[in-house]
Amino acid sequence: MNNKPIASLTDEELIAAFQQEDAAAFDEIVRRYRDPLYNFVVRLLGDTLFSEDIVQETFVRVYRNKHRYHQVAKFSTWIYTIASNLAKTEMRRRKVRNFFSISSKGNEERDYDIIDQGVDVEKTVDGRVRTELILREIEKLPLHFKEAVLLRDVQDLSYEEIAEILKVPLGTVKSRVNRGRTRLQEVLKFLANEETDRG
Amino acid sequence: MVSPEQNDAQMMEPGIGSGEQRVRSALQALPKATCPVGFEFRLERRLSGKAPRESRQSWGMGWLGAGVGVAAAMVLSFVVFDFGSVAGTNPAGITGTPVRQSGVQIEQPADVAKTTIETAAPATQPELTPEQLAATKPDSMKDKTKPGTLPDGNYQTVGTNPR
Repeated sequence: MNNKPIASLTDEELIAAFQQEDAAAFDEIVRRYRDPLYNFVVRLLGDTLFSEDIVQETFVRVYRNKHRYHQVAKFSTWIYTIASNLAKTEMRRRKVRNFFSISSKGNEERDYDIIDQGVDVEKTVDGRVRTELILREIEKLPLHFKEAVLLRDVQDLSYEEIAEILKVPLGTVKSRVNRGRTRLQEVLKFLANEETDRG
Repeated sequence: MVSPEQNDAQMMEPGIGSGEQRVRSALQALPKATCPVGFEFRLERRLSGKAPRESRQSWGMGWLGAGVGVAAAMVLSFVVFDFGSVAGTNPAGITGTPVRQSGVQIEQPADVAKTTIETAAPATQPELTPEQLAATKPDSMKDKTKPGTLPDGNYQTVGTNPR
């Protein structure tokens, strides 16, 4: 066991420490991954309440199955795989169609709702409209495009990691990300034209 | 401090067109959702095998149960305590607990009460013998206590008249 501060350990070192029953290592894993996982699942499911449940269940699975993790894969790949599978199971079960429900909008607005007095209100509103339109377009994407684009462009994972998480070949991931982006380009073109017209 | 140009360079993905790059930048600029407050607490509960939170349904059922309980208690109180038949209450509606009083007993003489009953009968009715009277209709006043009359057993009600 090394004596490095826990915050400076890599993810793989942390899970190794947790496999040696170091509870603080698990706390650090939760601290590192709770928000990225939550952001990913919220974007995928569009439901904040169920997203929290799925992220918690992900950590429960990590906690109970810590010995199933082997150093051959990156820890981030493993934990994203668990979260992604749980989210997809939930989606299949509930057949979620509303990507951003009213309740989730309410919660998300808290994150960027504070308008500074020095900020141009029109720009702030425009920014929100833009965000809303992009989120709605993401919602319309088929699941396999959506998860690939979210993992690549929102979570910033590498193509190789995404291929491992989704259990598909690297070429398939690139194709899905590309096709997902192409679909999203339409709404962005519309937004760019709007901005040009006003400018 | 990362300048906007440096930041853009970090977000750039080599080998993709400007349209795709614009999509990537827009997605990366989306507001990040963060875990709600109390996430760790709920996770702790879940890890220890408890439900992470009280469900709304259980809250609703709890309130429903409380409401039904109160209603049942009210109904029972009326059934069990038939207030009209409690000894010691009188027709004037004076409520209260019968209390034994010491000292002089105030009691209306029986012959005065009888006189009152007799005078209460309508004057137009023909004279009937006591036997005939008993045969035609029961004496509804026989078993009742006049207002202000104390019941047998030297009890007197103490309390307030709600009216």
